[in-house]
Amino acid sequence: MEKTDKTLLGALLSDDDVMPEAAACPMPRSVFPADMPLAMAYVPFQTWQKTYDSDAALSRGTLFPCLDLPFIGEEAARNDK
Amino acid sequence: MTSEQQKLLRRVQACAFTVHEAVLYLDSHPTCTEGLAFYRTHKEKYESVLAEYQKKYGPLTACASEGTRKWEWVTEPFPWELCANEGGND
Repeated sequence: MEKTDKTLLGALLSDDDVMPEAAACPMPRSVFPADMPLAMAYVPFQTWQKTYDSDAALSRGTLFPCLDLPFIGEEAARNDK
Repeated sequence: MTSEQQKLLRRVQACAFTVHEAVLYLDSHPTCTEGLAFYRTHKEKYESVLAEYQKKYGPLTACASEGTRKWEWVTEPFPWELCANEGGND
C-alpha cells in the first residue's frame, strides 16, 4: 500500500499532480515576460477608461469600473472559473 | 430641506466626488490627455452646479459667503442643519 503523505501539502497533492517523468517544472510562468524579476511585488498601472457617470460613481465609491472591487466575503475571481 | 434643494445638493455632491476622483487619478497620471480633458469638463460642471446651489440656498462653505450686506454663513442655516432649512431663506 503506498505510503500515505501525512503533511498538508502531501494530502493536497493528488496522484496526477505527481509527474516524475515530466521534463519541465509544472508551474507555468507564462503570464509575465521571461525576464520578469522574481520575488518582487508588482501592481499593474491603471490606464484611463470609460468612467461611471457621476451618480453611479458616488454610490459605487469610485469613478473607475476597474477599481470597483467590493469585498464579497470570498475570492472575487474563483481560480477554476 | 426641500426635495428640490436635496436633489440639487445631491448633484453638487456627485459632481464634487467625480472631480475629486479625477484629481486622484491625475496625481499619478499627470500627462494623461483623456484624464485632463475629463477633469476640465467636470470641474466646469461642478463649479456651475455649486454656484447654482449657493445662489439659491446659501453658502456651503464659509468662504463662499458673499458678505455684501451680512455674513450669510452665520445668518442663514448651516448646510447640515437639515430641518432648519424648511421653507427656504428670506
